[in-house]
Amino acid sequence: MPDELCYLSIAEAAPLLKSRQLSPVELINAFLHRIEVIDSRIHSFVLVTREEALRQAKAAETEIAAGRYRGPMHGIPIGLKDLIETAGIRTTAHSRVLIDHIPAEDATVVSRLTEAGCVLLGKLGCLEFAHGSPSPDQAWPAVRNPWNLEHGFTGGSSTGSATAVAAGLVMGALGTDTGGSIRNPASFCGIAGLMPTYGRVSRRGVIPYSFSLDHCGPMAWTAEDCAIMLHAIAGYDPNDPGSANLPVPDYSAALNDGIRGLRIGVIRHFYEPHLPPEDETRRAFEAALQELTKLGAVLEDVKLRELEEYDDCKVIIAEAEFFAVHEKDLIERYEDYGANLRFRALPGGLIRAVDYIQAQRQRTKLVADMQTRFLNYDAMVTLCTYGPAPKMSEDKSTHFFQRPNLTAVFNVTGNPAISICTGFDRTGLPLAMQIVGKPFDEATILRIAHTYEQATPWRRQRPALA
Amino acid sequence: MADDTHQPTEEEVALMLKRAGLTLPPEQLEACCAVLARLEAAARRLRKDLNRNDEPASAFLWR
Repeated sequence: MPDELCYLSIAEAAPLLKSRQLSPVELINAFLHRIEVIDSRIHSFVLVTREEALRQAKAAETEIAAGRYRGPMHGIPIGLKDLIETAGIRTTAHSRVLIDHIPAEDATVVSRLTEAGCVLLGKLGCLEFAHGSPSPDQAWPAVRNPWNLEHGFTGGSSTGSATAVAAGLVMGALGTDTGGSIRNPASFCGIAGLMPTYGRVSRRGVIPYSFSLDHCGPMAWTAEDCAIMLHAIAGYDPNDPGSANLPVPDYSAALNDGIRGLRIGVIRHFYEPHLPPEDETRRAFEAALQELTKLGAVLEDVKLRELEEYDDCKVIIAEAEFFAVHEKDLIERYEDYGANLRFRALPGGLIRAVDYIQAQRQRTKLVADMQTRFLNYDAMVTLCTYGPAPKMSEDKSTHFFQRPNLTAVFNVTGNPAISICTGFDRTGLPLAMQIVGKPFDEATILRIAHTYEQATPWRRQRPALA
Repeated sequence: MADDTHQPTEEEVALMLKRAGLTLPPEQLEACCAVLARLEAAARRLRKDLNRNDEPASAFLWR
């Protein structure tokens, strides 16, 4: 029974908690037990906040019993990427540089989840400062992919968030995304990961990678759970200079309205013919397109700018902004950074001011162009990654600067995008696609994702971790 | 601006790093040269179809 509790979705658990058929304390104990049994194999947590979790669970139980149910996140066990600051709880960004960092305040997203009644199970591993890659000189072991513990890489950088959700160690998690760091690990771990529109979710208290490309968003087993989580964390924050002062809709309201008549643009030219994906990934995507058509959506090919144009823009902006954030520490505490992060970070210090400005000027054009292309579509779809999770040994820092990824496009333009599972390859590794929306129209991509998930069997398969 | 085939030498990169306040061991200097070549190529490609009055994007994209 305890393991079955850990495989409930948020949407399934919430009514049980509300009606008191399920106690938050019972639920949290089940998760803490599972973390104890399983996490030593996948290393998704860098810190388990056991005592605080039990205290929050008891408080939730008391409130719900007293008729003060706060909503669908009340009593729900969650984890936070260790890039997100928590008052009084160590927040390291997975780096020795911040190994003793205990923030005085919660990030705005943490305050909002606390307000919604969530129970924090702990802090989740990530790539160092959301930009490194696993290296043996780091303070924690590399996070392992629960679908293949032997060699499965989890992508980056919200690695612990994706693995903990897939392994049933949290019901939902927050991740951050500067070039794909929610969507890529979600893709490799077979979960749903939503990067909201730039400005939709506050970045205050989220340790920055690149101010103008960073997004914070939900990662969960289903798109429906992402909708519930997004509703809890979205909204204007005067303490985030990039925050958008716009009303927050109920993202769950239209999830079951179906997708009949929606116009969806299919982006294939990002990878065809020059950057061919692995065959099973491509075939799963084509099958997903057929499913969307069967569900009533109207699909047609759409052509955007060349992938390289977005990638050039992203890499110049992100690397320059990252170096600006870390300049002092990279100069004074160089050895405290992991070797792979040093490799990736240092060239950012050599980007000229004029190159950064030209990238931001080009970005204005790319944003405007994307908005024009969206006039004819309710959403667009494309691959999320070129293939399933690679072997850990195949992850090389140099890869980061070689083949452009398929996700950073939408960090450059600020559009919301969600990664969802489209099946599994012959070795059992998850495959995925990306659904992209108009700015602040997360509701439509969540609806498409939910409709697809309901129509396909992929949400019934979990990694074998017994 | 450098030409399309420019590959930064270790000497050039070492000088740039020094100006940025950084000193690297030789093996990392080589890696840094390779990445810098990639960044320089990206920066060159970015310059197409920009007009004099095209303004940069900012973190306040939607406001």
